[in-house]
Amino acid sequence: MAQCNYVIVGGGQAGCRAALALRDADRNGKIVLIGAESHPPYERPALSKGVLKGSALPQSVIIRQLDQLAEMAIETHLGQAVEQIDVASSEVVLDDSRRLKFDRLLLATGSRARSLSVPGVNLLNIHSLRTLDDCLALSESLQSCQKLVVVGAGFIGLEVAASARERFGCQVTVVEAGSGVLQRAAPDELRSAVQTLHKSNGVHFLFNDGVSRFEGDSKLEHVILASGRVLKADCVVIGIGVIPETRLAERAGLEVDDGIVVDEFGETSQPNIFAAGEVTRHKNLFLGAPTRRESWQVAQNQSTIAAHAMSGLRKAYNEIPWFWTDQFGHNFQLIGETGPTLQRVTRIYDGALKSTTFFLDKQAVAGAQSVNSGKDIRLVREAIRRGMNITPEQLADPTVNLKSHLVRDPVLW
Amino acid sequence: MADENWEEVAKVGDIDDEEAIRVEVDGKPVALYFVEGTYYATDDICTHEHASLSEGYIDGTTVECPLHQGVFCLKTGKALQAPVEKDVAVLPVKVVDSKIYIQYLS
Repeated sequence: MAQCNYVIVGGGQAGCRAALALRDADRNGKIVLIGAESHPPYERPALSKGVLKGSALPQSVIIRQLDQLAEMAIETHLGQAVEQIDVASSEVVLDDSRRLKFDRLLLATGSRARSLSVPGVNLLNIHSLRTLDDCLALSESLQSCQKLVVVGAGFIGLEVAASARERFGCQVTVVEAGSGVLQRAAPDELRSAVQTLHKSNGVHFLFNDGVSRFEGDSKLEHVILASGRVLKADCVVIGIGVIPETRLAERAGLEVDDGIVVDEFGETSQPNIFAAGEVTRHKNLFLGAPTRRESWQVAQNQSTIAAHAMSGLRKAYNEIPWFWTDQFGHNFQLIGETGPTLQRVTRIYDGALKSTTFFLDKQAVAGAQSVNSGKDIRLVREAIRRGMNITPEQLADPTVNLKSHLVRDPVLW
Repeated sequence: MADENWEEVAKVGDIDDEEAIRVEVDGKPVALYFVEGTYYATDDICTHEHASLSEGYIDGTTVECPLHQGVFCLKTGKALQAPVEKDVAVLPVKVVDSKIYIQYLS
């Protein structure tokens, strides 16, 4: 068979993981990885946590260095944007007008931070946090910041708030349009645990409010809220979500619906074009309905599925969704189904802040949320896959060993 | 390695099967595991971020970190599943007269 030309647009975690998986699956194919950022591929979770807090080095987030990629014959074009996909000729057009031919194309373009369109948003010391460069610039700003205002009480905003308190001792005020933290993505138990933790660590919240404008002489000085309240601020972080980077896909005529639409194999509406990571609205057999997820897990694993499909090994994406966040030295995780209609049982461990809430669907464990009890999350993953014979009373009892209740031999069908 | 620097850390029966405890060896935290009649020991702190592997999930001769689900081999310390990339140190274990000893590098 002739050598296959694989082109990957997007040099983040999903693009890199796909390149590595492609190289495993096809020793001879030509693999080209194109990334708009100039850094080698890296993981983003630590940018708002360890790296910002100073407990992890910036280099520690790099997945593979350029020489390591070169050794695997993965060709990289970093700091280079793709302008267009020419579907008819199967080529991508780079920002310097060069054209690269592909047999199979993967779009792993990720997301961009959502911005605020209010006056003064371009003043100095107003940040968003998406890239490693964003993280380094924010770190620099926070060195001399006394008053930090975070816009948005989602995961990124809260992680930044926690890191800024812990490392820099900033006074932190979080402004949020909704009536509480994590309104978009979390069950009540998690929301209240996180909110309490932040308050006890001195973070101030202003709910049901938003930014009407920023004021200052070149450099930020005040944040004016919709309510009329005026906050003095040395630094602002806008954490109001992301927008999937679908522009290339749209211009190429691919099906897009808040994310590039792909099936369980990572295939788009165009036969030789695939998409991976958080830019996708993908099918996950475990969930059924197509979903777009901003998570490490999707970047890591759905990208491998797409890469395998590109190399001809079609295997459906079927994974129990899992998510973590670390704030003020506490670890919170979510796995599986945690919807509001499910029965909930909470087990509280003695001592430090440590608990697990189990979500039951007709007596069966369908998901969980943990506070510093990550081992339970792993057991719930097993319980969802294999089954667990356990009563709600036993689930609630921290002395009951969960592992001994797992179904030993999975049902075969 | 000379046969020295063995520190008594626990007794047989202290750990249930497929469980782990955190012990101290030479003043450092070490995870001591018991799987199908064999004891294993590794550094307790994950090579990825600050988490205690003795609170992890043991599956055969692997342990999964409770923080971010990285997986290590208990026999070799090898990092088997992302996000961990760096191997964890393993320490020799021996049982003498129902006492469990772990050896550290001086």
